[in-house]
Amino acid sequence: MYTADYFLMQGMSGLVLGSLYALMALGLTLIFSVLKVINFAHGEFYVIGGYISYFLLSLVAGIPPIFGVLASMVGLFFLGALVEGTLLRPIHLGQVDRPDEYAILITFGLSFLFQNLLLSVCGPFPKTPPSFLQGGWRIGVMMISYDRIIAAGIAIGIMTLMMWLVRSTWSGQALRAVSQNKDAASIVGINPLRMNTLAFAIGSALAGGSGALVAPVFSMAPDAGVVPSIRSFIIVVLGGMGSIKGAIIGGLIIGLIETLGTAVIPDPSRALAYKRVYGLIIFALVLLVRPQGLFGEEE
Amino acid sequence: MSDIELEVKGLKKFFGGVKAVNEVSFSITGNEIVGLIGPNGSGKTTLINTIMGFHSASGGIIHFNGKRIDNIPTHMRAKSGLARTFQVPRIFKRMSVVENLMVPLLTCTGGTFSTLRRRADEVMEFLTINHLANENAQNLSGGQQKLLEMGRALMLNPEIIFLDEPFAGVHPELQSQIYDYINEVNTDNKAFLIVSHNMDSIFTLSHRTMVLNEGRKIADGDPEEIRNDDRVIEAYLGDEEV
Amino acid sequence: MAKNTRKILFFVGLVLLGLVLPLLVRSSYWRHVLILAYFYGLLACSWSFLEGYGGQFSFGHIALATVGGYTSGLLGKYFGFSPPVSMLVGILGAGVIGFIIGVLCLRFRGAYLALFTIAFSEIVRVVITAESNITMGRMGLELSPLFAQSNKIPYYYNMFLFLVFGFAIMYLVVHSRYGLYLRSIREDQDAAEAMGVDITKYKVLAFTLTSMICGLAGVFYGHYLGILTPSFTSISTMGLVIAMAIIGGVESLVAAALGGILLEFGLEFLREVGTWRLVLFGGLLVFVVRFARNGLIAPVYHKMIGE
Repeated sequence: MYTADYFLMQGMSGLVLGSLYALMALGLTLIFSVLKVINFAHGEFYVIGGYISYFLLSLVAGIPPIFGVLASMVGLFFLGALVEGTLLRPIHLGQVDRPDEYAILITFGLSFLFQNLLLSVCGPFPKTPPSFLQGGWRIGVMMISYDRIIAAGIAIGIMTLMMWLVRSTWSGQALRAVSQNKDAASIVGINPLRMNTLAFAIGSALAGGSGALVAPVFSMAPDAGVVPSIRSFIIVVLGGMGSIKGAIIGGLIIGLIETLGTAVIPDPSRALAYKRVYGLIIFALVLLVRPQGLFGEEE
Repeated sequence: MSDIELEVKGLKKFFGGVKAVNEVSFSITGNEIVGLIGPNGSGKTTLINTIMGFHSASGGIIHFNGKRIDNIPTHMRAKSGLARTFQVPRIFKRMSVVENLMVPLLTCTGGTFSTLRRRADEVMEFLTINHLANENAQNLSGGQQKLLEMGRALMLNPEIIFLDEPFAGVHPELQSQIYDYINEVNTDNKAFLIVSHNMDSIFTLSHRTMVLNEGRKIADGDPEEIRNDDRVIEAYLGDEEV
Repeated sequence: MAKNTRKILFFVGLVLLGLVLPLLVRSSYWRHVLILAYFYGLLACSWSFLEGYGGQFSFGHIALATVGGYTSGLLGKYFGFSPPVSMLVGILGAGVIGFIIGVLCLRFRGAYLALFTIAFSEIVRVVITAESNITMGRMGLELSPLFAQSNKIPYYYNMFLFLVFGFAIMYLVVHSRYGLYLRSIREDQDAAEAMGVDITKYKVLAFTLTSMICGLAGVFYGHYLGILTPSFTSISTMGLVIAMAIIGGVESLVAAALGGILLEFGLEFLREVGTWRLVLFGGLLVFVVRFARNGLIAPVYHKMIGE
């Protein structure tokens, strides 16, 4: 059963999924890098992204699914900016006691609120936006759906664009400056508050975009954000908090581990259940042994 | 007279390539008041942090009353008789003044709250902050917080107290109060190591002055001699406080 | 000492109320709600003990309760242990796991402990689901009942006793020197160390104690419901507990416990509103975190006892 073809296919499937995971993790790491905050609502932004895409594509017939992705990213950009401006800005203005605890609580509180809001408004049943492209690519008896490949391609495209933007635009440089040294950046005329909002907005948009990309494949439900959220934490810790490179490579690693890991346990039903444990164990180990991850900075 | 002895030999603390403390040796005996001066970034606070165990030393040995302490945890060093204050007061903000004082007292002594409370009252009276006993520490003014820090250090019943910038950011009247407190506590057989940029206070207060520059000890002796020492003056060139 | 008298009266009043309630509340359904309310009250209180006093933000409480419950259930199912014994072992088991986590997480600051305990909670859930041969997975592990009677009265008093007992232990710790040490660790760990506090010892002890209380709650829950499933160990349920403690008042054991009890009651009361009641709850949580960090019940409680 475990032929070379199988591993090849699983490997590619892993990379495909990994790119999607990486996109979402990139958003999380960007938020941490600039705001120094872990966004516990990241999974919910992902779900909202999926829903935006679904509703747009079902209300407006005949438009290419890519618009769903665009709409999600734009929608989440503004939602992220709103959230940051109203709820997170007080941290940076010194208006909040125990800022570390506050950051966890407010983003977690939002996650709780959004999840139940989505549940109440959209109902518990999963929604599936239309496919990008029906069918799939076959090798032997195995297949990767075109949807996944296209989604991964778009994800890679977005990530590449992001990395290019960060390097070559003024805003990108400003974001990097703030992530490295907030005070020094403000002395040079960069407004850290605006950069915080920008970073959070972009990070949310990336989460939303990955939700929209994944929704045609895995469909979307109000509680579908929990697992991707945890997975993003794993990737960001593995790759190193605040490291773009780390998020991308970490995403690919986790994608591979999840798909190839099923081959390790012979009993198929348990293998599937344990799929997620590998990532969790790696997570725990990294936190214990090398908390800065692969590419992060040592504290 | 008690026989306190802190002996630091060849102490090193490196942060990557930065040699924050580089082969520093000195001792504190009896109830000396030792001043520690040096330009910004010379390693004074890092030295205190390393002696207290916040940083693990990169090399060197520390003996206190004949026993090695560089390999025991910070809280044990505190309990054995070494107390410190912080440059920027790190009081327990949402605990009251009394509670702030009780913590170090409780870690070192047994007994009921009420008997120990009396000791806290004594210290508060000594520092004239007893009217603030039940106030949350975060509501205190900067100067009062500095006094509270000193109070906490005293509650450990220490033999040596490290004061990190006790006069910084404090108005002159309180400065002279703190000056008096240091002298008074000193008569009770407690030694001090005081880091400060307030040269006047240091030179008049200390029995002995040490100078750090770029992690190394460049002078150690009589305050008047140190004041006129060429090497010290050179180290401070560019630093306007001298 | 007027303040102490008012406090004593308050507690005595609450205990008396608790003892008398089953006589006033006749419906089996509402008795059930009360029992669950006490369960959440105990968990919320133990969460506030760890975070509000000890400064450690953990997502692991439900998972630890689950560990306790499953331990008791498995011992009963495979080794024939009877409930009092299996429950005790379950509590100790939760304590041991808590101890291990406490030791592993010593160097973690802030959100890292939160993340680690999320991972722990998920691992617990996945393992229980995967090893369904042993744990019965999603079908659920059956636990033997505690009492011969089918009405809720003995279970009510049992949970109430556990609540009072668990609360009392935490209350005593918090008002002792250990409580001061914990709070100093929460305020400023480094300064606490410089003041002679053995932060390693007290952080681990706090985690272990809170875990045992979770175990206490969990073993009761399992035997009361008669069944345990892995879906109980979800982050959403943990989120409820955290929300209850925060809305009640995270820096006060009493407020957190009352938060758990009253909010669970409120959730049941609003059942007809459907999932919107959770939206309300979530909105309330965000509001409290942003504008009323000390909680909603804590100020009322402090006023009542005259602090």
